[in-house]
Amino acid sequence: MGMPVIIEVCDPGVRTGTVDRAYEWFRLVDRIFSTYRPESEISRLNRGELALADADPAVRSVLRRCASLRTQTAGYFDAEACSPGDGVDPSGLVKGWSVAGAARILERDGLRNFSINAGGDVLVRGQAPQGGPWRIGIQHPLVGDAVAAVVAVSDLGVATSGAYERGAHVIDPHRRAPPEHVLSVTVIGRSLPTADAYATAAFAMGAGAAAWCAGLEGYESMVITEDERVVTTAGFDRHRVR
Amino acid sequence: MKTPSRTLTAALAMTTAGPAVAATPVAIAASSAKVYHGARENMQWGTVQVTITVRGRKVTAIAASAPTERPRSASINGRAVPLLRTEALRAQSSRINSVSGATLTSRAFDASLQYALTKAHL
Repeated sequence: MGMPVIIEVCDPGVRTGTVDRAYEWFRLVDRIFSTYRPESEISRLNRGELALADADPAVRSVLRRCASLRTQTAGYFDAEACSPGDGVDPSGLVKGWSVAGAARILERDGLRNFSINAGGDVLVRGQAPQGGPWRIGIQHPLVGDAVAAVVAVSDLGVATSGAYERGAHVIDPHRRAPPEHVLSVTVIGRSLPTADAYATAAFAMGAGAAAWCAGLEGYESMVITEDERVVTTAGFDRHRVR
Repeated sequence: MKTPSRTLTAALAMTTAGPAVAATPVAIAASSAKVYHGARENMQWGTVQVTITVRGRKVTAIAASAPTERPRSASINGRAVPLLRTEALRAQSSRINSVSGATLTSRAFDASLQYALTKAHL
């Protein structure tokens, strides 16, 4: 995936093998799910060389979850929308899902205080190095080395969808065109993969993003519009420190 | 007649899906609750509709319903609560541990996340 992964652990006495296992998990996920690898299960599935029944159970699980999220988001999160006839691309869910899997690996080895950042999807547990909750900056969509907001969180996931990075794109599955009016959407909640899918869907909605996000149960949001307004839910603001 | 709050106006103008729909003006009723439905947007996977409930001169709920979901209400005990707050976009300066962004490539990471992270190390 070419995705940078940063794991920061604050527990005392962490065994080096534990974090290695987390990185090995990310490599395994890439081998199964990467649409850039012709030999990945997803690629072979899309070419008809692999039957879904013969794929890794994780593939079926992820695709089922994609289908459920497609319904929940009225089609704005759609693993089949990238290119008609090209098959499925669950990458929008896989990133957050793989981070959640890495967190379980760390937790299984007894770690309680860590953060994982994979390509801008962030999951945090326990206490930050400075003590207290983790302080997560939300990337400023227009100023490359700045943040637009800071939230203090623990045991939550933070996901952001946007189109401000050159080469990154999200397509509105209904209009089959890039969305308008919104620079980025950030969603915070207990499940990072769900937050990721919601952020992706909301971003694809364009002008409808903030209203749709306001109705999400258990997930808080921040929408940055192209006229440089920040629209937040009350719950999101409760996490903000800036 | 009281002008609807900016939050409500914004929510009405921003339909939940697809191309902009002409917003149905909100008639603020004098007494009992009235429910106003935005136009249904027919999407590939079903219809999405925004519904607002007005009691007296206050909006008490705004709900966006997706085809298989029950409407999600956003009011508390009949009190109108601001669902969304709007402010100007600013660059914040603050100590941070990590950055959430739509960064997908290593190159983009070098340009932004790395800077933010090294700046933030406490």
